[in-house]
Amino acid sequence: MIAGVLLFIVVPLVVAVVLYVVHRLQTLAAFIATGVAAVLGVGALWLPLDQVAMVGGRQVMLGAPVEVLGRQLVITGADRIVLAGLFLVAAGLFMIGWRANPGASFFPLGLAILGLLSAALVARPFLYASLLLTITAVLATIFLESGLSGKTRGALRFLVLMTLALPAFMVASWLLDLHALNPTDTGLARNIMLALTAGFVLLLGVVPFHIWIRPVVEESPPVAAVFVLTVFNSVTWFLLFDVLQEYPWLSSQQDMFRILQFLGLLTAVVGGLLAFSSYDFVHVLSYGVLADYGCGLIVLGMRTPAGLAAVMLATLARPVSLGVLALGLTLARQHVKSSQFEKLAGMGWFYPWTAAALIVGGFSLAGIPPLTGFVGRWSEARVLASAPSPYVLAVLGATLGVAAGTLRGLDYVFQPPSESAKALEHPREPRLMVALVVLSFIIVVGLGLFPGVVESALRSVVSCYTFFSAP
Amino acid sequence: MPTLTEILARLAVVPTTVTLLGLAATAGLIVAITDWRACVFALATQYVLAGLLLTRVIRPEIAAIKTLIGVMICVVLYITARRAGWGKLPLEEEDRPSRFQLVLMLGVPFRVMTALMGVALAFSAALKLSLANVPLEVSFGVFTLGLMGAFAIALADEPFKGGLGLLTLFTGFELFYSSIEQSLAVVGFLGVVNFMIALAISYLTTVHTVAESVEESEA
Repeated sequence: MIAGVLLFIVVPLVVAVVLYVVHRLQTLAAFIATGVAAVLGVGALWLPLDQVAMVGGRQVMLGAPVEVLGRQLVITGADRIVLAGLFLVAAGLFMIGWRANPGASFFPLGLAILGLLSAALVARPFLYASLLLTITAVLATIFLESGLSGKTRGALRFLVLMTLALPAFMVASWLLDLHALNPTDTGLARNIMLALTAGFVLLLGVVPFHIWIRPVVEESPPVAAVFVLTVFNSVTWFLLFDVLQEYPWLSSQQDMFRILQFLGLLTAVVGGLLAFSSYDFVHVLSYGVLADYGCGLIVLGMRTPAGLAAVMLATLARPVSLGVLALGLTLARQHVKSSQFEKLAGMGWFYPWTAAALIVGGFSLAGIPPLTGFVGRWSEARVLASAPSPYVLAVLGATLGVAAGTLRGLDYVFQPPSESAKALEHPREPRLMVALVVLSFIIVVGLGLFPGVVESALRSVVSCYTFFSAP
Repeated sequence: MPTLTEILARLAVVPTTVTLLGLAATAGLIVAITDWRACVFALATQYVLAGLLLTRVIRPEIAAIKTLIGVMICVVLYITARRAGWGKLPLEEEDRPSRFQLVLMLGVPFRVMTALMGVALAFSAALKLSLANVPLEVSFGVFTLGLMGAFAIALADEPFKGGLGLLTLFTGFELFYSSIEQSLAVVGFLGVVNFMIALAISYLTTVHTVAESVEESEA
């Protein structure tokens, strides 16, 4: 019998090696990577957790535990939904990568990252999860440079900040062992809280540790940057939830959530303000996602199950918005070699789908209805209805800031084109990219109008995390 | 032929003060100078000295493994630096500034001051902030490498020097963590993390250098 957990770790890693061999054949690599990620994503949803299922004539049990180096790897009820989400999002990004030309190593490294992230998600105790997450982050550094732009500022900052989180987690793990022997020591509990907070703040790219986000989006292929900003980031969020679930006494540590909420407020405000003053769609994406992270932390700080559900919904909505924006950025770079508003002036008349992807992606990231981003932002705003006004204002401000930045871009993109621009010959937008843009619009509007399609999955994940509902 | 463990055991007679001074000097070199060749040599020496210091808190075999990983990392970085032309300055013979001007251009006085400040801060931190379960001499090593690593990262403007800073900082952390946790699995994972960091730095340095040379040739 094959333990399901091995499928999600070993298969992506093995296929990654195969893809590395054929990485020059980009179309083949894209199809294999998309297919493997999609099959595993659907498999995570379809296979029963605690019953044996037959797959290709072999017995597979999704929830069967596996022991590696004396540590247990097991998929729980929440993990399967999260794994499904990760693999399906990755499949979507691999599909975009097929036409976006993100570099030869995008597909093999992307799959290897998925395999390692799956291992991090199911590894217990969290010390090993954090070690695996660090190894993944180091691999992601190379992944971000797959476009070979030659600029390494963002990747280096990402590498430094992600690896700096590891010492904090290792110290927290040691202190947790001590705390198990001496559970009444409040000083120890406080130190654990501080170490864990420091680690997660670094991993989540919260202000002032956000300095890698903009350079990464500027220098890397948009689809690779979005992969890191969504897939890697989602695992960090779920690692935080797993830690809170494993050590329920942490959720009663008010200081931890006060710190996270304050940093979330700062992040949302900074993200919103910087997005407001954007002059480039790269800035809209970078600061929009920063504001989104901040809003998530503010809502998590409310310490309610509804807040947790809102954070998860926002985490689910983010890849959809960013995927559309990545498509727009890729097309803009292909056509105009830039994503600056000034250089895109009048572009909407020649490249309407590119312009539409940039604008729809920006508005969805801002949380404007009826797009997917609105679902997450609206649920966050509802949770904050009873919160102190600065938090509500920060979330609304973040929405307005990102929307204003996108609006300014819209103003440039649909300016009347100059005579010289009219005289130039503009090649048609690639049909396959247009098809991907249309498909992404269907998803972004569809999920925005009918969020109920993900409701049952979301409910089952939220019900697995009981740390906020415990008396 | 003596094993690595035996070599470390023989070297363990080196006084702690000398080891600590050596650690401070090598970390200081990584912060203060911009010559890649000397920096790789300093990092290799630092790994050996850290291994010596580790023999005071963990089994010599584990210290030897950590030293070996460090030496392998230095080999990777040496090859990278060599292929990248040692981070050479693209200066023509006639444009070459005097040695004094070069020192000022590279900000060496500022870097030296930073390194000295790092040592002073580390010394006072080791005396004032006692680390639980860690001997004082190891604490000094932890703070020295940690602070110097952070300073080296902050002063770096390219991946190679930034990476050396990150590895220095990690060596400092490993000095601390090895004193409190000696699980072999964690040692193995940390070795993998360190080695992967070195590979990532190597990759980033190569990409950075190739891009720079393309820009130069285009100019």
